Amino acid sequence: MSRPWRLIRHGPSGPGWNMAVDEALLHQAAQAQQIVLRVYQWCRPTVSLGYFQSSQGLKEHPLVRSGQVAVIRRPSGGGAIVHQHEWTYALAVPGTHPLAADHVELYYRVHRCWALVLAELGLNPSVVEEVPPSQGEPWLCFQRQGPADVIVPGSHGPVKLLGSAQRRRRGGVLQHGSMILDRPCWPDHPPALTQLVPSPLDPEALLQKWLEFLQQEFQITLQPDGLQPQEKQQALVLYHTRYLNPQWTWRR
Amino acid sequence: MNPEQLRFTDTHEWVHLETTPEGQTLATVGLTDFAIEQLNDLVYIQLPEVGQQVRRGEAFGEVESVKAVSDLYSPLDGEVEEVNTSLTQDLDPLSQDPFGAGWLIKVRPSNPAQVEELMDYQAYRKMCQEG
Repeated sequence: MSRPWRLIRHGPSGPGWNMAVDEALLHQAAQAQQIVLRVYQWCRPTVSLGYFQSSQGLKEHPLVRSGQVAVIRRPSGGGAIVHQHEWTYALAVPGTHPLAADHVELYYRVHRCWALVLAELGLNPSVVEEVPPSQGEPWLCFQRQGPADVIVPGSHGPVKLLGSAQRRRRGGVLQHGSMILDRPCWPDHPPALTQLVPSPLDPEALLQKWLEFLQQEFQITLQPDGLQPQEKQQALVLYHTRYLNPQWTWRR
Repeated sequence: MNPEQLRFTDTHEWVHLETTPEGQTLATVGLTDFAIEQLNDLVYIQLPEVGQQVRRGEAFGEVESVKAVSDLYSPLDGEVEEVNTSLTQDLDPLSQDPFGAGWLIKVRPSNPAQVEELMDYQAYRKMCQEG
């Protein structure tokens, strides 16, 4: 059995704080040498842009202009996600840990655990293997399909239910991702889990199942914990200097 | 560029020192073939501006692949003299010729002796093989 992972559960928080805490955990992972798993939600519908993604046209979107949907930029790559009805996770792995070495293995192993949860719902999930490199991908993450994404069959083709992205630094890796429980308030967003199962979902039960599968997959135990004072301090600095700063969000 | 004549960081950047016709030292910095293979399917890169100061071990740019954004670390202190800006439009040279046309930046080093502290080719290959 490997060293326990810290498990931090947070209720719905604002977009800037969520990103600041995730990045603070990445900073701390290098120093603490312990893996941290954070599970959280969002207090308002939010579009998170990938680090390199263009925000062109987004400011003028009616849902953004009216303030119904907030916008934030992630420290990680990938496409835009509309966070509303989902379980979001962040996994911070020290750079010296074997799990940090391979760029895609961490995606696969975490995602396989969610696929097991979906299989118990009878959804016949699969974890995407190789996909050919493509140009001009859709703007929304959940309209794209990449390696390790979790998809299930839908009436109009495969439906992506889980996608993750990473930020890699010398000291560690931050992987965060979204399991979409219900379709968010965004036009043309693909269906989500609720649209694919006949009976009402119990989100907490699904999460607990995933945590069980994670412990089996990685041969670890999850120790409930909170943010340490230095993590909170680091998150506050990032929150005020980066994630509250419109220049960060709208930089591209 | 012959990889056996380069020096390497543990974060997979390579560096090559040359003396310009004016007698100044110039360091060319790139990313190794091993790193390119690990990263797989590069989609974006961000490089510094000419004139920007870089410091050994600190990030000077970023690259995205498979939804992962990774930092690029400078092998030495100095000032950016030239940037391979063509890579921001077309990343193929970085994938196809990482030790040549895929170079990233050229730096006027403030302390060229820092290069001596980096790994040579054999040591770098050994590090890659050992994972």
